[in-house]
Amino acid sequence: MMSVELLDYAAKRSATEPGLLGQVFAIYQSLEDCTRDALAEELGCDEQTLNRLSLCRRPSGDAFAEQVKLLCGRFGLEPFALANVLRQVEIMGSDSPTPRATATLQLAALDKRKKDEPAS
Amino acid sequence: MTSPSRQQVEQLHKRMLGPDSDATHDVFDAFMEPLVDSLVGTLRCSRHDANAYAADALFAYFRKPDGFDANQSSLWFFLNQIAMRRAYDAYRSQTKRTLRENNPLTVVEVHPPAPNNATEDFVSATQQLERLSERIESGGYPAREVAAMRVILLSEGRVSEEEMARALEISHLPLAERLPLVRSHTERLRRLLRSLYKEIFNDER
Repeated sequence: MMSVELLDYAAKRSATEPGLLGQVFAIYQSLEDCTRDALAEELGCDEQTLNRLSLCRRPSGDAFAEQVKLLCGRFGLEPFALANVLRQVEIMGSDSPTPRATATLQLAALDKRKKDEPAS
Repeated sequence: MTSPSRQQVEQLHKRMLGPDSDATHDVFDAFMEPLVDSLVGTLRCSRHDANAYAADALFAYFRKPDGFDANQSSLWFFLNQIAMRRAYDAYRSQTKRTLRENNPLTVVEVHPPAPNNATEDFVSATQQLERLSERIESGGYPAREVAAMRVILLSEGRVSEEEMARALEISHLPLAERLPLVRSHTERLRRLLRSLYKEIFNDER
């Protein structure tokens, strides 16, 4: 089993790796403007489990539901929460955070923040 | 930490070729630590660098798991080779960058002689170095020899064993093996530089 330090490093690297959940989470965090702690809370897990989850492949295609169930069962997550994160990123249609896609996501996050702010 | 058993590896690779979402996690779990330990032990690189090379190798495998042929080698050997190659590439580009930054011509220009020395001497020394450098560059010598000759030109008298080993790309060898190699190459390249110098400047006389 990997040390906590290595796991942390690998999870950080996975944020730029297409096809891994680490990248999906990075996009989601940018989109929702949320911290890693907040994401872990949303998924109902601790930070270390989130790091382990980041190293998994993103469920897709016909096996989507089955794979989400498998991941949730293994890491003790709420299936709805993980499916929700995956769907939100899919709806934004950004599989890879290219500079353009990242900028779009950041703008979307900024819009959302402005909307959420109480009118002065 | 030991590397996973043959049976474990076969199973992991089979899962990598299928739809299992957690297969990548399990490959990481099984190989990351042994790869890092192996790189630190073999190359004596820092743990921080070893982490990067090991992760590079694993991500490369994730992108193209069918690039590994179980009939040709073991997955451990395959990943270790990729990680080693990354390490050597990083090391080579670092050495080249250092040598470029330490180009003797730059040194001459950055550290001009004391004001009481004649300007002509400085100009002449710069020109001589330029000529010698051009001759080395156009001589078709291997890149590591050119790098080592630069180290000799930069050194005033005693050549640093460490720098020479880096230039010759043999830093990874054990000291007992590396020292005699550095000595013999330094002597050989010094003789070559002397003969090149004579060749250039005797022709002009």
